[in-house]
Amino acid sequence: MTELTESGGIMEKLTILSDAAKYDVACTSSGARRSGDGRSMGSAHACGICHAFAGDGRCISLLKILMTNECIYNCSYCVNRSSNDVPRATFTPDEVCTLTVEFYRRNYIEGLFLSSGIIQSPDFTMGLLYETLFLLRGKYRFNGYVHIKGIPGASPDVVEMVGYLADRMSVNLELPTAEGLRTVAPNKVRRNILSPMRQIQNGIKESRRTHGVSSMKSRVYIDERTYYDQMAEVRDSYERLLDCQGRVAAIRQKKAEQSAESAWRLSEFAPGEKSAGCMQQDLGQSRLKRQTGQGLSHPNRYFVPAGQSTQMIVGATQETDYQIISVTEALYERFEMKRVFYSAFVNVNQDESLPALAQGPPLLREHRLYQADFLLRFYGFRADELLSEQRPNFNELIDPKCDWAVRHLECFPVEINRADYYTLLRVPGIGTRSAGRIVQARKHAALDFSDIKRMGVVLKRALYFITCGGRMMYATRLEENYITRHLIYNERPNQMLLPDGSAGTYEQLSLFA
Amino acid sequence: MSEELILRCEDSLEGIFTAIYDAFVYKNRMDGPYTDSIQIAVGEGGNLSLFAREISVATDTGKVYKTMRAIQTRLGFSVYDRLLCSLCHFADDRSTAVLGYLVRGFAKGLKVSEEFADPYVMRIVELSRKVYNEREKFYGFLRFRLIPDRKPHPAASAGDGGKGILWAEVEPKCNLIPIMTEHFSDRFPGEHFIIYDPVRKLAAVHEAYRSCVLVSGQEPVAERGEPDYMETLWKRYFAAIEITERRNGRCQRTLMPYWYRKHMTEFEKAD
Ligand code: SF4
Repeated sequence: MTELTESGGIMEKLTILSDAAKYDVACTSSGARRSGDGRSMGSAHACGICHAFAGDGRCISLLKILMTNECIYNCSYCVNRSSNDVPRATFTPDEVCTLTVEFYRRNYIEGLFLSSGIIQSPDFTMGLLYETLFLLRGKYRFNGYVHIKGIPGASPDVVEMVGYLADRMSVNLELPTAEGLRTVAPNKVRRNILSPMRQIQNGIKESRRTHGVSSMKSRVYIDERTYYDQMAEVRDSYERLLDCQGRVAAIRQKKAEQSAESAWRLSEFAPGEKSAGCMQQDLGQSRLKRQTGQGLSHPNRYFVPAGQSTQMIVGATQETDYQIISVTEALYERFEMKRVFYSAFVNVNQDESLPALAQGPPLLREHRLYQADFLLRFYGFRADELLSEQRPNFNELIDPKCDWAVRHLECFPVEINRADYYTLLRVPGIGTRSAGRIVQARKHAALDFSDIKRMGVVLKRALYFITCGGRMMYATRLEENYITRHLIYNERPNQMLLPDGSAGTYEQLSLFA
Repeated sequence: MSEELILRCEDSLEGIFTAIYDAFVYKNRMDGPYTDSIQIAVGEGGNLSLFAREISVATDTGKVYKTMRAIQTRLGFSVYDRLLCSLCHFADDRSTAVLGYLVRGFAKGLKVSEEFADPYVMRIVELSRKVYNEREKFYGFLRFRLIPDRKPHPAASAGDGGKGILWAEVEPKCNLIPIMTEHFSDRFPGEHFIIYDPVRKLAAVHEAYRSCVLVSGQEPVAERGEPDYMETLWKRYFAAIEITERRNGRCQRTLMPYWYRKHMTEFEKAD
């Protein structure tokens, strides 16, 4: 065990390398559940645990550091780019391990999130990350959560070896379109980002197949089964919803798909065998064989059990919200991402080719994207339902779900005592938990407004859209502007108050916006 | 209408479990349908009703054990866990709510947990949700300080010699010590650690590779040895990770109100 003392310069390294890592937003520790093994230190909690909240209100869960902030690349949005004159530092693998283990013991953190600038070459860098992880799991016997960043351009061999020791891996998409990537990160190419993503996806699938769902459950809890069941149900209910709306979804749905396709040409990275084929071309027969051998020699290990994630910077380039969520949807569906993160752009380098953002980073936009992301993942919404080319950006004043609801008043009001689960989910103010409770509780008794309020329904939002026993809570008009006005007033009452003390109307507000 | 009854018990989980046992005995002696006329008051607190008869209950380990077994075998461990957590809440009506839930649960079986329109069932949902949430927060916000061994313990084996003792203080609103230690012993099997609640004077003591024991009533003595360099490093990390362009103290306060920060290393005043 390396002793970290004041003389070792560790304080300086920690300062530089955590400061340089802080713009990466993915810092959750969720997705894997693992009890302690009785001997080594560490366990993982399915929903993750936040150990503190930083001054910016973001959760601190993992020790998020870079191995090094040296970098041979020059991405214009990044503090570590080679053309910047900033102090540089590099950890040794032992230093990273000791910090992780000692912080973990004191319950400061849930695990490690290790990323890195690119030193010497992508392969060398990835090798350094692997060495660290290997020491951490082996010598330091650390059984907690580890998230490792996949370095674009690293060879599949190292990526695979890392995958068997990490809980989660992520390769950052960086920008919502390949076009944007070309302009601001000239050294990163689309292929180098998408092929490791595909490789990780296939690795996860294969590992799950090898272990069988049931055996995985006993050691590592993955809510995949439930997830797919739920998604199947979502689709089902979505079909029903479409029936009732009489809309031709197939055509509209293609639009978002096309938009994502034109942004990244994802179809070149076909899932499954074909992608192995494309790797084969890149690597030659012999390496591919060795790579498959790896997996078989770790029959007791799981490959990236907590799944993979990725992140996009929002507001550095010109993409619309519609383009962003179309890409998100494609990533969830075609790359089976566990999470997609959005990071409001901060112009750290004062780079003139990038937006200056006088009002600070686009935080509200980031927030709306996270809300929409939630709707895609858990509520059965499609990108095409939320936005379109004609309406490419989210409403700043109300959240995406309310926005959708007021534009689809023909689907409302919904009867609490009869509507199915996914129809309930579409009501603003009803979440997954309260919808579940309603469905269970109404089997035993007819529900009224006071009952559903106790179950967690936010009535001030829901009341325009629901009936209990055929009755609405108040006499309200089912009319778009009227409801929108009230919903905005709920979200931020002070904005609505006009100088003369009266409440503004929606039309007036949109003049200011 | 049956007679109103208040069972008053000692303020501890054992006390409440005994009272629940007795409550069922009284209930079964009543004639006519039961109308939730028995309440359990804990310690000195609780509403006093003019018309109710009050009976004080002496804690009895045998009854505690029988009550636990009855809940576990008839309603399962997850319901038991939920009720136990509800009892760790500080609300005066917690034990009466659990009693009401059990009356329904024993009569109707597991499906009672779906009856969210029933006030007792919903009350348990509320109580346990609050306790679970607070426990979740403390899983993260609890901080251990390392108290180094003065000399390596002669009996310590090479592997865990000189590791010291981890010491944590927490002041949760709910009585979390009985229900939060399992998480930590699972996570740190090889550590000696103590988690202490100075308000309730309750400590969980974990010896490496043993199970945890609860010690109540006495204040453990903790000597702080050498200042721990890891604490300094952590404070630096905590400051460095913030994106100052996005500073948002209000959001930080909502997610982590001040009262949680009392024993957290990163919020200590610099000495
Ligand atoms: S590769 Fe680009 S984004 Fe990554 S550290 Fe280097 S300059 Fe920054």
